[in-house]
Amino acid sequence: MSNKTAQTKPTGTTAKPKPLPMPLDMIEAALANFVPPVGEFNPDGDFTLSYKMLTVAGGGLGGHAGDLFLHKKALSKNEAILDFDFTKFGVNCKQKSKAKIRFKTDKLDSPIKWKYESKLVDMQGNLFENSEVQKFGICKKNSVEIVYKNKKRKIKSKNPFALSWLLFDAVQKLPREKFEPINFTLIDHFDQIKPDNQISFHGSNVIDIPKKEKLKLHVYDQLGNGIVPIVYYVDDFGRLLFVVSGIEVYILNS
Amino acid sequence: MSNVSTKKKSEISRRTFLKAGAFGAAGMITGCATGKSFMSMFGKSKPNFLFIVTDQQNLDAISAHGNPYVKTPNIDRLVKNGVSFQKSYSTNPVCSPARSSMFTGRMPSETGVVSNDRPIHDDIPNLGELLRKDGYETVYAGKWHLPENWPAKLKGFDVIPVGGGEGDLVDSFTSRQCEAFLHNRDKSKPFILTASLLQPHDICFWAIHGQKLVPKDLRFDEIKNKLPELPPNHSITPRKPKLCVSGYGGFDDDQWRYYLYNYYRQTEMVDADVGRIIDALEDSGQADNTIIIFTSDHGEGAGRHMNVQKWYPFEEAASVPFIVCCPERIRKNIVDTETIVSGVDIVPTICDFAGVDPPKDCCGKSLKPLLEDGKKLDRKFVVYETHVCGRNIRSDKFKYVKYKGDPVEMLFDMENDPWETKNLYDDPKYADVIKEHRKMLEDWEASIKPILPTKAVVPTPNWIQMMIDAQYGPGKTT
Repeated sequence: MSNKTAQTKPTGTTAKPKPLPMPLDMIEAALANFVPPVGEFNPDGDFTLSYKMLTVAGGGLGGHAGDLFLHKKALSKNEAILDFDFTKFGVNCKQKSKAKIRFKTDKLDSPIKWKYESKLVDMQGNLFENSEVQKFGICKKNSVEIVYKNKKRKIKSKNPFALSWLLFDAVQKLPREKFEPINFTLIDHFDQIKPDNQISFHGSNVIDIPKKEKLKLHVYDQLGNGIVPIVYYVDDFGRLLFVVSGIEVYILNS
Repeated sequence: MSNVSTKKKSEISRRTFLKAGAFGAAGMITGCATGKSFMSMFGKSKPNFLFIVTDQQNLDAISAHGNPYVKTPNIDRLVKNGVSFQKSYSTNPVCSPARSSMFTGRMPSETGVVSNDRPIHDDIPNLGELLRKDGYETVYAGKWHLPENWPAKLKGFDVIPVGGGEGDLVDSFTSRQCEAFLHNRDKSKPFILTASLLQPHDICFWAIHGQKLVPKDLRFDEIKNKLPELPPNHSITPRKPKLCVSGYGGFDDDQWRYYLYNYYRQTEMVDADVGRIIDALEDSGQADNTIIIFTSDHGEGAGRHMNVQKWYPFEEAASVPFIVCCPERIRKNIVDTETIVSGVDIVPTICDFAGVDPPKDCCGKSLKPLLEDGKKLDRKFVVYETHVCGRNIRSDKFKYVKYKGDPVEMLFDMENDPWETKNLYDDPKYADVIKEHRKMLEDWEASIKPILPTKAVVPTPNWIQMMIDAQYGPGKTT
């Protein structure tokens, strides 16, 4: 007769999964099928990452509200280009946006200049009349100029600027330890100026999700004017996996 | 041009803001208004209209009205350049009914939209139909909710389709398409563009999801000292009719403050979208001849009387921003604390400026003489509806509330008790005031033409159906 010791794991039982920390608990259902990417990732190098955008207002799996593609290419040791491609779903329509953003590869990925275009199309891809926009942005010392059809608007700031979509890259390279919060003026959606923003390191979590136990995440918080708190989660290689801001969520396509 | 270099903090402290009442600390400010309309370089040509509607924005969720917890530089531009009304009321502080009045000039009991998810009665023309007949290009972008949230087609309007998700996802979409329209349109015709933005309505989900979005332990240490103070009437719930359910019990004080923090950030989000649209109006060379009307469908509980959301008589739900500006036609920098205005006034005001007859049986008043020349409006009170059977009178100094079939009525002295902390209904000193307000209500009821409710497109919750049955008879719709 075998004599099972107390160290032997009883059969037929499963450990209760650890609850997800806030705000990941808002996307628990959406993470049920998430398979983290394998293999290394170099946040300082060239990459292509794509994300599904969800609204989790109704809870559960959330509604698929759009798709985001980011393609980064290094130009030199200190500068890079981010190609941004974003489709936002509407009712029987899509808003398609593209941008080419040149930036410095410093802490905030400080923007240098960008060209942004958007248009509205139906589900067959036909263009809606009068729906196209093309804008340029140029950052200079302490100011940014937004240009649309030869009209310029100049906005000054005592803080450095950071562009919302570039922060998806910047967080991948931030230190994974407490640092003094970095203050900046946010340029949201390419032309909405939101002062008094900051980004800081929150800490590291190890979470269990159905397709992966012990997934290590490094967490950054963005707070400030004109946003509800935004939380960025990067993996141990620095790859951005999730962004959660209230009921707006981005999950890496894996 | 906006300037985000260092700004001095508002001199109005948090305490002063909270003491001053729900209408801001500014009072009546006379700025550089000329007091007279003046000819534009276009003479008396038909003006354009930019009608911006937000969702669930409190009257005092605007920094120019003295609120130190929110920064709304773009809405502040409208306040500075126009007339901002401080006694401004939704006709029925919930989405569909309020919006039905904004687009028809009729009360919700007259449009048939007595609760959410109902269409305006077919026989009642909307603003787009009225102006289109007169040669206007009539365009609509954003939330409609009469009954569809995001329509592909609308009677009287060309629709710029948007949609998908909630305010944080949709408003940038909507404002971008409004920007495109303003820059790209054929400028040979006058236009009316409605930009219907959804924020700060997202706050509804902070109450719905409770602890997940508003946790007991604040996750963000950095904002601990930046959370808004609770309002003075936070835990006060005066004696009220049964249907005026309030008291969201899900939060402790710190959670309420974090809830307010998010509400004001969402308000700032919509302010940025307002900015994009008015920048586009200016940059496209159409601002001089465009009248901007800015309002919201209803307010938000924001912790007042322990409330979240809307659809009850208190000020936090019922009072809404109402700002009108146009550099060439309307007085500037006026914060009007005297005139009582309502969502039913929007249509007759626009029609008056456009030189178009107002719709038949319109119960609102044109504010044009007041806006252009400061001519006092002849009005003693407005009425707003709540919960199908609730009727609320806002007179110069008082608010009176009566619900059909409920013995509890309410009377507030709005001059001395703007936070509505003491129901004076049982105080014999106010018996004459109550009698006077009951007479106002009778006169008003005799003046309107109510119809049966239109058919809702989603099942009506039982508690609302019971009210409708009690008010109109069982199973009656148009």
